[in-house]
Amino acid sequence: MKRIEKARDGRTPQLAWRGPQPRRLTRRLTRFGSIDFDGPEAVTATCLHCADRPCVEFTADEVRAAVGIPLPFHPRRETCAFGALGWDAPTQLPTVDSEKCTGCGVCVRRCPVGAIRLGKGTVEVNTTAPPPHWHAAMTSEDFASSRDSLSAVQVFERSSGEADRLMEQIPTVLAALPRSQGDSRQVAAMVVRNALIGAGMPARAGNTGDTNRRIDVAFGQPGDVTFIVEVDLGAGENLGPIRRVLANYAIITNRERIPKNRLRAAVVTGEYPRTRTDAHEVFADVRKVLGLDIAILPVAYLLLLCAFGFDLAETDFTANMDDVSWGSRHQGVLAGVRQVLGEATPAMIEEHFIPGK
Amino acid sequence: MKRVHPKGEATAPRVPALPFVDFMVERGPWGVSTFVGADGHEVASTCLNCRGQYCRQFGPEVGVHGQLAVCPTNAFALTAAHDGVSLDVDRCFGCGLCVMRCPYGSLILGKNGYPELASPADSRFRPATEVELTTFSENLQIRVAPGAGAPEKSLAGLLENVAGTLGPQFYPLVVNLLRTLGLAATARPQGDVNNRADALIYDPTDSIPLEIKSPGETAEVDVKSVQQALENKVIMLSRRKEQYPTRRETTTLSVALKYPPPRSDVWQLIDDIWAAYGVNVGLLTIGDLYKMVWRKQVARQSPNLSRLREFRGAYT
Repeated sequence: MKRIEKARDGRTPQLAWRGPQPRRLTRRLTRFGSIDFDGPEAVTATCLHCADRPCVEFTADEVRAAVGIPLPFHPRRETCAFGALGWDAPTQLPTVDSEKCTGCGVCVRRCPVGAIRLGKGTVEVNTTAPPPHWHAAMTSEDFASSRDSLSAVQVFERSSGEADRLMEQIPTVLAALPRSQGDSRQVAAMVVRNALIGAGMPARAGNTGDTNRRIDVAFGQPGDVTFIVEVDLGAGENLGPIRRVLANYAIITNRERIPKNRLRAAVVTGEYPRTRTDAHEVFADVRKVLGLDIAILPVAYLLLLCAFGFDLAETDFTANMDDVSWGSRHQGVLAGVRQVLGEATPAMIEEHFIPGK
Repeated sequence: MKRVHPKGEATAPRVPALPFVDFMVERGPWGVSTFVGADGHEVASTCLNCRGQYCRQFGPEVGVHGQLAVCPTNAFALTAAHDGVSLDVDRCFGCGLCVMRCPYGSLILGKNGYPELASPADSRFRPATEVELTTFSENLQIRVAPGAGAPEKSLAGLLENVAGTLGPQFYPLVVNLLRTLGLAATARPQGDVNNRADALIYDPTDSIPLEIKSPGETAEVDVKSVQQALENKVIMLSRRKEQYPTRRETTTLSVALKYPPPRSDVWQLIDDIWAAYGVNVGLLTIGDLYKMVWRKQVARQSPNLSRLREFRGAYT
């Protein structure tokens, strides 16, 4: 209690967490986090009222991270592309609009302690009062430092059952797009950008007003290959994104003098294009004639990587992209996903990663 | 609903008696040509009863299968007696193609914008025998009047007629203008999913896919149609090379009513596509296409089609 009085006196707050030291944080997608402390206690993670509110918004640096090509960034910082997540100032708690929430799982990933979980069709925030020794009147710096020391030891547990829960949400995510406010293509680009940033990959969304750079999303590690992405979260049968990404590839290589070996093209789709559709053929035509291998990323893949806590900055995500890119070897898509997800590979994976007939 | 516009009484075919051997072209598609006799007297040109082989139907010279009617909407025919035009006025939109196709200048666009015979009957005409007819048309000396090579003013009216058309009218118009130039153009058969181009020009080495934007859809060539033109070329090279041989640098065409404004991003995108993929995207307006057809049909100048095969950006 001494520390609280200090803070109320307006003196320099204590920057270090002085309570029991957290030893291990376990997080799962559909359960709130569990924090083991030194000693016998284990508590359920609850909202720590973070001052920087990572669940609700990205930092300014995150939305304008360098992606390897000159592309104006979209300044929108909300992590929820659907506008379902708000912040209640009096209580310092995130609010979830269950009508708008699609359960895409980006905010689940963003909560540093695991106080948000994927419920049925929506996300839930654990707002129960913290245990007594996590006093509600701690300074925000205290929260930040306790959170950071938790993050350092966090462990994500993954299970295929949880992956299936997320897979079940994908149709909801896709169906919510046309109903979203504003341009649905912009919202779709936000879903993709937010999932990528959430998974630790520097990514930018293009700015809608920019007529000369109509790029939906670009991502890439500094010094690594940059991906330019067109997003169409339909059934993958639309040829528009293939055409646009071809044009954008030409624009970026020619006007910005980006070498072709530093640039790759990708299309994020809702589902894999079915084998008998024209889109399926056009990807193959482009590779055959122009020598350009356009990666196809189902949005489910990105959301899985994000919600399941993969840190793309530390994986060889882009180098392994061939495993999840298009081709006659589309069976390799499944293998690539299984390789990344391991035991957490969802049972429903075939529906999302294998082109139907 | 069919309405017939006969000019004069319906009688047996009347053609000029020989020896009208000279043919003076003074026409726009809506001006009257004149047959000049060896003895100096002149008559307005009239239908020479070639049985619609130019104004109504393409012959085997177009070299492709498919719809061979000249009229994009199938609205035009001659009356059985070849003394007038049988026209479905609900479908005719005044493209003027039948008028320009007539080698004898016998059709005009009337004041109401519909094609009609310039001069159906003349007291000095009598019905010609088959032999006379053949001899006559073979012996015609075509002279081109001064001023016939300046089509801009006359074509402005045609372009106005075309300005509101949609795909079902506009696509066959483009195809048939190209055929009139002597190109083996064909529209995409309905339901052909292997073929994304709206139309194709066959050539033994340089086939050209066409992306057509109908004026009722969008007036100018836009970024999207340039993207589609690139895709058309990719698909032709990938899937259709045996039926439609082509090279990568052969033009892939995008046809529309107008060129984009000078500051449009389209122009730079075309250069980007050339730099990145080595594909030439060419833009052609319906006005330029009309001019080429005009020069061939009216001014009797052989069209220079080699430029069409390899150009980038605007045709003019």
